[in-house]
Amino acid sequence: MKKIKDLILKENAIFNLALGLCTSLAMSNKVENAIIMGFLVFIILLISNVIISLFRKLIPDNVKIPVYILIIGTIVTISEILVQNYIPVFYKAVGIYLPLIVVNCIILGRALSHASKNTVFSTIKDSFKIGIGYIIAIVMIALVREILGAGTLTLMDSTSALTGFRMVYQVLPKGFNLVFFQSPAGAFIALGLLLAFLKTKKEEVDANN
Amino acid sequence: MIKFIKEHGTYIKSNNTNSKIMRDVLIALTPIVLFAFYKNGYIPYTKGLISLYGLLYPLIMVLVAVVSSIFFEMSYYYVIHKRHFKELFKTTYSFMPGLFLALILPINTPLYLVVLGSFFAIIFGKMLYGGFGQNIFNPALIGRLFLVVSFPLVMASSSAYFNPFERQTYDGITSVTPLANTFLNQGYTYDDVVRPYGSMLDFFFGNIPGSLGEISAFLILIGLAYLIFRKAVKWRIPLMYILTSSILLFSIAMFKDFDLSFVLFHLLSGGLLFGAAFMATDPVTSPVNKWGQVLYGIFLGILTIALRFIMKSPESVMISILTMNIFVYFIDQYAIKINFNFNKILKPIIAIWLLMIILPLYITTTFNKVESKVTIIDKQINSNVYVYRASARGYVDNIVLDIKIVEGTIEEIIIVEQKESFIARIEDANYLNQIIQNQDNLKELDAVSQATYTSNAIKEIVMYVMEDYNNER
Repeated sequence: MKKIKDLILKENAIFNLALGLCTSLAMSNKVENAIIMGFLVFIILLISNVIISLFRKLIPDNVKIPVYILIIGTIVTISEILVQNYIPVFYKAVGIYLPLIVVNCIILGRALSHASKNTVFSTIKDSFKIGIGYIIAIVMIALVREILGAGTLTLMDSTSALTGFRMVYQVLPKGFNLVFFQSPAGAFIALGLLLAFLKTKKEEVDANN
Repeated sequence: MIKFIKEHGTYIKSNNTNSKIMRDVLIALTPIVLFAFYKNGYIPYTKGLISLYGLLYPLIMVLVAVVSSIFFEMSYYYVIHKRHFKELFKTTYSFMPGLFLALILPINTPLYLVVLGSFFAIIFGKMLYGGFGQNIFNPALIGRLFLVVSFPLVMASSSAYFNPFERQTYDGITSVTPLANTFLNQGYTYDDVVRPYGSMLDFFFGNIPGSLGEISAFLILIGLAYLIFRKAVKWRIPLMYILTSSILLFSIAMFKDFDLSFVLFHLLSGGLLFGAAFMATDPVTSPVNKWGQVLYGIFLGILTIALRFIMKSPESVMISILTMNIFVYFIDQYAIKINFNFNKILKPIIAIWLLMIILPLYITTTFNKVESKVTIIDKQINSNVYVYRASARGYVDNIVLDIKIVEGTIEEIIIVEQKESFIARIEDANYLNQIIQNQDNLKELDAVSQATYTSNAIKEIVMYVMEDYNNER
């Protein structure tokens, strides 16, 4: 329980460093999309950072960033082709934001600050921490946005072709939703509210310690 | 350490305290509120169209907005600063955003939306920035923006703006407000745009549909004059705002040979005057420096006209004021430089001149009137049975009709393709059968109310096809 708390409050890339905001705002209109996006970012973060960590002694310092981007871009392109071919449902849900994972700052940020200096094992540990933190953050934003904006809670809708059953719940009564929260501006406001809330929580926790 | 040296003669003395300004604004707004009550409550009530609740509804709306905004501000203070919320609350004039919000909402806004709007105005527009004096954006406009974005169907349809009496009088008009009506008519003619709502005098005195407070230009100007007389308002902003937009409108009218009523119409309709007099001059969210106020007003005018004609948005005043609110800080910084070195004003003046020349030129090119062109897609002739397939532009997209003509008379009309929003009204009115019955004098057939554009497009297709048919025989 304490670990989860730390993951949300202290070691979260979105909430503490404001990294990777683009995808987390764009894909958080539905909880389902958020889970898919978080999962894909997590996988790509893990694979690319492990590769970067493996080659960290080979790559000269002055061409670090282009090489890292090249590696991340390769992984993203491969996964795009694979997802498009084998899990077309995911591809349909994520769309243009899958190739855009290349420019997700979380991945490059972790590559520069962690994977380029540490061993493979420590990188895997770090990737798990950051990746799961990303999933938690994007799902939290999506929960706020979907429940307020659409009044529903979608856990399985477009992926029901894979699993065989739908899980869409009506949370608010119909007509009580604020479409505003489904728009990009609403995404920013939802994120801002979450950040403010978490900041006060963090201060409380710090004060208790 | 900074030393404050007290000397004589460097301080500006003024009796204008916050509470005095607020009292003057309230006095200026009172006739506007009473007029909204007279027009939206009293007139329909005397015609026997609404109950007592409907009579009082405009006042109830204002009251609910004011009370809810006071309530939300109080509860915010109570939640955040638990101990001395009463002292904090005393000096913040929390009724102001609510009052303004009620005045810029359409008459048929449901009360729960008024409460929601004032929640957003107070919490997101004012308190989260730090309360009175700290907010960047005009809180009332934030509330309205939120409502318009979230509930476009409730807030922007004709059912929102027409009171019951107007619903009877403007039966043939599909569109919302006079301003929204112009965006459908690509060009401008007095008959198209002004005549359906009466004359220019109706526009001046406020006998047109619109938001509660924005309609009566006469009362707004009186209120503005009172505020200027009492020195309670930054008079340079409304003056430059109205001046700039009228110069721009005048040059558009000159380029396109519109008559002077075009300028008057665009000044008097929509929220331009109300925005200029009360929203743009909000003491918190407008520049303090006098050159800053001049530049702010000019840019507001340019932005409003640009949005109104290029984006064809009826919300142009609101969007331009909110946009310019962002730049208030930079304008203030620049205006201080102008005070010390007057040559600094050259750059903004050149920019303004360029914009004032380019903008009307560009806008005039967008005015090309789209003539409703009927095209015959297909024609099948089978001895004396003709089947035409023709299309024309309706309100939303092209309408495609199949028309069967047997020996000079229309036998059957089928709608093949349409995306119209009001097609149900056409079906309800049995309009296609009406056309078949009145096919000899189609020109006199009235359009279906609330679906004028769609029904006129259908009528034009039929008329064009009949002409083609008669030519061929």
